[in-house]
Amino acid sequence: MIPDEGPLGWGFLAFLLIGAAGVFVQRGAPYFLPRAVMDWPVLGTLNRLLPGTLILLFFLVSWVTQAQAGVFKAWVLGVEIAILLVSVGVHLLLRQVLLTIATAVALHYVVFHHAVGWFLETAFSWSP
Amino acid sequence: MLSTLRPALPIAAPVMVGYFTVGATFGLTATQAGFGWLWPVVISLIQFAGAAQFMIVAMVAQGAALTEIALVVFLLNLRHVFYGLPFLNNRPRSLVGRILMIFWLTDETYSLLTTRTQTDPPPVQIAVGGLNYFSWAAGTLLGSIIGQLLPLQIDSFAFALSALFAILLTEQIRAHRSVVPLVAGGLAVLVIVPLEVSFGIGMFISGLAAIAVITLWHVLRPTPLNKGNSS
Repeated sequence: MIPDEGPLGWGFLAFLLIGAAGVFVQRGAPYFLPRAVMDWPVLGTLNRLLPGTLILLFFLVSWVTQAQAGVFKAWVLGVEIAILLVSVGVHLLLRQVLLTIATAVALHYVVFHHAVGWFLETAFSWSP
Repeated sequence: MLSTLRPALPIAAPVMVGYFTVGATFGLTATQAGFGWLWPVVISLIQFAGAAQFMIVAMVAQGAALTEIALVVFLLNLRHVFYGLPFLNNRPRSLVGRILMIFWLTDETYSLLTTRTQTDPPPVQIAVGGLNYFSWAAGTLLGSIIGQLLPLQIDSFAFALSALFAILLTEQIRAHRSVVPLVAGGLAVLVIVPLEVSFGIGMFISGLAAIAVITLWHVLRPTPLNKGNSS
């Protein structure tokens, strides 16, 4: 049974199947593409550097589009970046992905559901 | 069957453990993002594409259109085009074997198989990919069930995606010892600043701009030969 809620439904299933075919073609490219194309040096550089760039863009584009939509809050961003930096520090120290993510979620929960709430209740004004 | 799995298991074991835990994280975060318990498992079984799966969940949660998600995932998975190269001379004989080999060839499976001191026979390579695949799917199932059983939706779980992307970015910079992704990303996002675009379109346009910046850097960077000539 396919749950059909919001954007999730048969259309999304079709999207996944077409996407899987796309991933398959990419992974099998050496079987399908001429060797000359595979030997193009720029592809090697893109192969190494593009994934990291796109992950960074995920953050940057998210912030830019939030600012354009007028829902951007600088203090939220500042606090979230601080939590992410602490989490990255934990990751570099312990090299445990799951533990790092748990740390980030726990810090986020404590800060935004308790600490910030406490500041707001004590009449501290975050907004200008 | 067993004679193939026996040598494959010790090769795959380290990645299986990692895949199980990260798969569980995917199931948990996707469930908390409103995907229910079944969709994360379906995504893992059909796509089996790590970071791209997290990107799909994040972009659906941001309200991006499916075409926009497809374009971004295409760019993110561009790195896969090289993964089959080392296996061309040692490819499975059967069509089914080749299809499975390609479908199960992820970053980690590629790393495992290409750093072995001896070349494993194709059935063992396929078995390594299969074990990793089922670990990922089993982890996703467990994470989805846990996410579904949690008594309340906690907004902070959505932050797990941001944390994962921060880890992936850190690992990318560490692995390639290059700040080019930071510079290219910083320059590429400037392209969409004056435009009023959705998140998905913004990702695609800035992704193309990033390709242009990295290509330009590749062409203009001083090669060892140029350095030698200039000194």
